Amino acid sequence: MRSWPGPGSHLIFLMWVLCLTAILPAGQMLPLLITVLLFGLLNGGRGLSPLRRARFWIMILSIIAISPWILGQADEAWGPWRLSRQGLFMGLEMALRAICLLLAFSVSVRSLSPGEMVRLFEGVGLKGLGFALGVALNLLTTLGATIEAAYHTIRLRGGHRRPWLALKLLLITTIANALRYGDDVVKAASARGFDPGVQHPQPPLFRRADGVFALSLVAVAGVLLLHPW
Amino acid sequence: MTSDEAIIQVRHLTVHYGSTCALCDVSLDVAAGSFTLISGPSGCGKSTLALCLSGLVHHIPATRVRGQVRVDGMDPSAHSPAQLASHLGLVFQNPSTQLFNATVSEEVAFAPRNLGLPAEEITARVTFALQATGITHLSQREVRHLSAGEQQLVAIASVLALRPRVLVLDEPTANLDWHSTERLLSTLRRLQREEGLTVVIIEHRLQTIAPLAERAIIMDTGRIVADGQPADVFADKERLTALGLYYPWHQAEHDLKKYISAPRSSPPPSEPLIRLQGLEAGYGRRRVLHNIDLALYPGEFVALVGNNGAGKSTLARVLAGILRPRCGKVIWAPALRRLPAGRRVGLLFQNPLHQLVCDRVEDEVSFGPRNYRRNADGGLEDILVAADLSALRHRRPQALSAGQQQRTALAATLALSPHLLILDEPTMGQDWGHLSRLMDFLTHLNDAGQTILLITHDYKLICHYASRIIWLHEGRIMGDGTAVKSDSGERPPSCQTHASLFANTKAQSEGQP
Repeated sequence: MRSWPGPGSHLIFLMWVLCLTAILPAGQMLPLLITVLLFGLLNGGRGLSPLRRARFWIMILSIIAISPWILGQADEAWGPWRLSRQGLFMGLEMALRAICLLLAFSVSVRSLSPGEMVRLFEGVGLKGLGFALGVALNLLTTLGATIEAAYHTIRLRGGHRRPWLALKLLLITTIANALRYGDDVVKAASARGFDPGVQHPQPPLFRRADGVFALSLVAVAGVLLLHPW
Repeated sequence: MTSDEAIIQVRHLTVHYGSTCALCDVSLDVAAGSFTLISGPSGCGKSTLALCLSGLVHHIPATRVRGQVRVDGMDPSAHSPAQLASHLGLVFQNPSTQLFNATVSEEVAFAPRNLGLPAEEITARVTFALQATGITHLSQREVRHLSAGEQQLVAIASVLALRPRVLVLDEPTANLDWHSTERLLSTLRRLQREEGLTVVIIEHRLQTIAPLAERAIIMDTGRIVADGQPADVFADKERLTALGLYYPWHQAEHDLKKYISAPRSSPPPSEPLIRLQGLEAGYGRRRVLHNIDLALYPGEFVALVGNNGAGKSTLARVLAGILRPRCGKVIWAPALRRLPAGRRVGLLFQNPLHQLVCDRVEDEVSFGPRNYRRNADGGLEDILVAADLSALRHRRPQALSAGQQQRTALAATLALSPHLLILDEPTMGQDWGHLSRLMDFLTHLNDAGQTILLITHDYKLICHYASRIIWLHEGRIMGDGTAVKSDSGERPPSCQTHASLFANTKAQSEGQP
């Protein structure tokens, strides 16, 4: 069991990134992104997994691609189309902010176990939510495997020839399996002493190391805000 | 044994799920520090008994429970499962749905944290549980990246961290190869001897567990039908046969090389159904299959064997076209290349629930033929009869027993008449009676020319059904040859009644590729 960074540090880091993505000027977003990546690597890199997913980059590139069409004054001609250079820069800025936020959230959520999630959410007064969220995230792999098996079953049986029926069957099977797995997890957790109605004394959410970490983040924020990059 | 010595006391326990009686007037005592084996056909009430002991049965909707249960002096009906957890630990069959933390150490620490123990005590218990199960080296590994055998040990460690006095395990070896099973059982035996743990193990694989057990209980239709020393209980072969159980009195050979009589010296004369050349495949950065060269011929009954993580399921996925190889070629016979994937190959996954997608059995079976506009109605009746599903045709597949679900998934796969049928671990959760009926059905198909690839850890199936064995080890083919038949002369009950059928199959497969 690791001692740091614990749930307190993750909460501080997530809040810090949320604040800075809102107030930092566009030019300072790159150092913030580097900080998020470093924190992700410090946590074993598990939270940086969105960077390896095609759908993450499709979403980011979509933001950049759409922006010149819908934001700013059209001042560039590209074939028959009129595009906005300002819109393109605004899109790039939005994409950077989105990457920072999504990665910070992913790093914090994926680095914490359900036990730490329980501490985190109970620490901020949201009893019961931590276990549900922690379990849901860690069961995604199992659920993914069942969805994949159902998808290939339907595909091998020619489901693509009736796509709407196939989609309906896939959704129903997925939901039914998710409910079944959820039920199994609750049984397994109960058999291991988990009772959402009982609140055991938990170690404090914030410790000395978290305080030092918070101070260093404040210092980094000061540098980012005051130093012209 | 007096009632005072018993750590588990069950008196006149009756459990109804709706109108179905799952347990009928069951009474038993289990002595503290003993090792008890509970077996019986699928659906006989074994798992329900485990749920009663842990108190979880009271949280299943539409369930009526009568009778008395006491575990380590506690009444499960009067205490929550969480309160009982430090007295009785329950390990479920499927580790993938009971492990939900990121790392092994977090998983094992989950239970003592729920007890509200101080941090030092939690650390001490995690250390104890990891050492007791021999998985200290895995403590920082991610749970989802472990093999099935390792996950099962983590599941046991996570329960042991509660330091329960009783440990109940529901089919813990169902997903395990022989090495993982041996490791698990030696761990349980050591915990029983050194820690005084009371072990109750629910199993179909009698051969591996029975030698360790001090007592064997056989259940059928919600009742205890035999209870005593394993030697006495398993001596009644007629009763075991009637219940669909099989206890071989000779020890199976666990060296896979000894099941392969001779390498296939020359390729068979006919065109292969499918050929793999220099194939490599894997997931992400992990390469699972290395340089696989393999050909499967029409009418073969092939067993694909190997330890957990050897790459058997990965090879099945490549053959089914689900996983694209990284390099190498998958070459189908020219006549099959234009067929849709589902007509070329049918894959039966490990868990049949993952591939049951329709509301009724007959819809499930006719789904494929309707999509491909094949003669769905004409063939449907034949397949339902062949799979013994006619009486269940209007039932929901998800509500059937494990064996019936397996047959439904198989019938749905066969409805498209695939040229290659792949079965990935069809033994999971099946007693020998159900399994032998499934295998006899497959033998009939094989007689009619169906090519079958069977992935299994079950040596009985390899001995009695396969004509060819391919041994996979760490992603490489280590052996490929004809199967050695059991030299004990003893056959499982169903095979005795189908000996002629089996002989025909063997002769046919030896006569052709």
